Amino acid sequence: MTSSEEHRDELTDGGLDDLLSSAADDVMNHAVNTTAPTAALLRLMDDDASGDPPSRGIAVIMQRSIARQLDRVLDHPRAFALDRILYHAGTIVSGIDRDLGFIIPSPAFNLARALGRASAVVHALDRDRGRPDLNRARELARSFALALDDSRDRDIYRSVVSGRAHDLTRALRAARDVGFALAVAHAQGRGSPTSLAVEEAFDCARDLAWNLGFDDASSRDIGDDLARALDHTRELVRSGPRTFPPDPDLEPDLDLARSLQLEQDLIRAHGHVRGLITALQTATVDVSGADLQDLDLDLDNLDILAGVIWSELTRWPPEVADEVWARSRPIREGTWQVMDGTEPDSVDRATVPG
Amino acid sequence: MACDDPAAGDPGSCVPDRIYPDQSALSTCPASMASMAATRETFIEFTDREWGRVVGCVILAGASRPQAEDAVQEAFLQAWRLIEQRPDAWEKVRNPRGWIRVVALRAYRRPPETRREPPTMSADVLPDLADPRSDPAELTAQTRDVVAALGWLPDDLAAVMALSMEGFTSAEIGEVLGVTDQQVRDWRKQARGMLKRRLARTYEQDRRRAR
Repeated sequence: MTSSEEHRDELTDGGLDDLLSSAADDVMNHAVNTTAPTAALLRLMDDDASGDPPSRGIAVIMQRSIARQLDRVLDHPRAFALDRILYHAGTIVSGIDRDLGFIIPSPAFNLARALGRASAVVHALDRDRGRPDLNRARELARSFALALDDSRDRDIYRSVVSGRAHDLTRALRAARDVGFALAVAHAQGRGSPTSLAVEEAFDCARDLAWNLGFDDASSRDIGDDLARALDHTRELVRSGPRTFPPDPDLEPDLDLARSLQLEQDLIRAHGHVRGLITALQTATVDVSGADLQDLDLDLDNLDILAGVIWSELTRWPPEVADEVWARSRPIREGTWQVMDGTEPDSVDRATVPG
Repeated sequence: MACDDPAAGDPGSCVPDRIYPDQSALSTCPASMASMAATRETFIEFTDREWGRVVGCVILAGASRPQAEDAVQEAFLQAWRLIEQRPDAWEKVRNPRGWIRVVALRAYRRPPETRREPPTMSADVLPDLADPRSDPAELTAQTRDVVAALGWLPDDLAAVMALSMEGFTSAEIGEVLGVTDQQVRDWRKQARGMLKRRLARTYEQDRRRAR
């Protein structure tokens, strides 16, 4: 059985088996045909990956620097143009893919995925808005109805009061989904005012506004997000009757729906960048004997060298050499390690090569 | 079951303390008998063969595509680190197919909170540029209904259903989850009842809307 027609009145054991079997085949075929083990995982296992430590060390240092730039940019995304964010993101992702995948594949791929999503949102901002997908809107609205139904079962208000923010988060995301579905459905509804999708989305939004209409949400950690999504949904409900005229102005709705998603993607990307910085900072970097004189290092940003191991044969850029020496301490004969800038200067300058 | 936290620093902690006597190329290739290079090749073959299916398994337990990929990536890295650092522990894993799925499912369940978020609009609507081939929209509407329903099941029930849908027997599932066959059958029965009610309600809503 493959059609929902047969399951409308009562779902039998056989009917459920058919549904599960069909879904399993569909998911497995899709997953197998659209995934491949990541190259980074294979590189992790590559016996050759351990070669040329100084080159890898230099790459780690440079990626630390770029990651910190990206961290600063993502800290205040509204202060930067999207193209600058994506420039840094592209630089770091390609650098990681080229140089560092074998060291820190997991954060790198999470980052790539998050930034890929952010890029997709940027593309979405520019794509043709005249081709809304009614079926997609309808599916989203139905998913939302399912989520809302579950929220009713669990008594979402009680969940919030008892600190179960997970249910609220789910409802929040459902609200965002339906907000976008509404925007798309409105666009589609220009020529079809009785569209099922529009009616369904409106019903969902009304139910959401009714279910989540409590006052103390703003005092919760995610209250601001919820309030924003709720306000958006309410506004869409209020503007419903006005969306059927021949030429509704949908751009604000579309922009809001997309900007909400973009914001979330950037927040997620920021989290991945922080994880990446941690991974980079804890990676062992040994540049013993390497010539680093051409490395672009900033005196104000020498924290990126924390933990780096170097030897008397290492050649630092002249403008930072003294500071590197000052931050280093000997770890064995002829070898030093750069300390974290916050640690007391424990260097015996007499032991440092000059 | 010792494998409670796939992200724990000690990979050895992720060895199921009860293992299923499945004959696998991996389990019959102890590091003590084969070179690391041979082990690596075997693991790559295992990865090639299972990666996509484990992604599917985690999706069937209610994960979105990105969540499933994150969890599977963690699981395979966990496996490789175990092979590298604790080959003796990996040797004890007699059912790597079941083991890797359980580790991935637990990685999906584990905090951070984002792991437990249900599929969102963005995962369906926006293309994932990191992997342009992955378009969840290729799934049929019926499949998405079923997956959504599976996503509302409690964790243990969802794991049992996902593994069952992949063809694992009650005995195999019980072994890798560290519970009895009877417990697996009870969970499956409970899950099926919940699924029937939820899916029937979904289609009833369809019917009302179609009127």
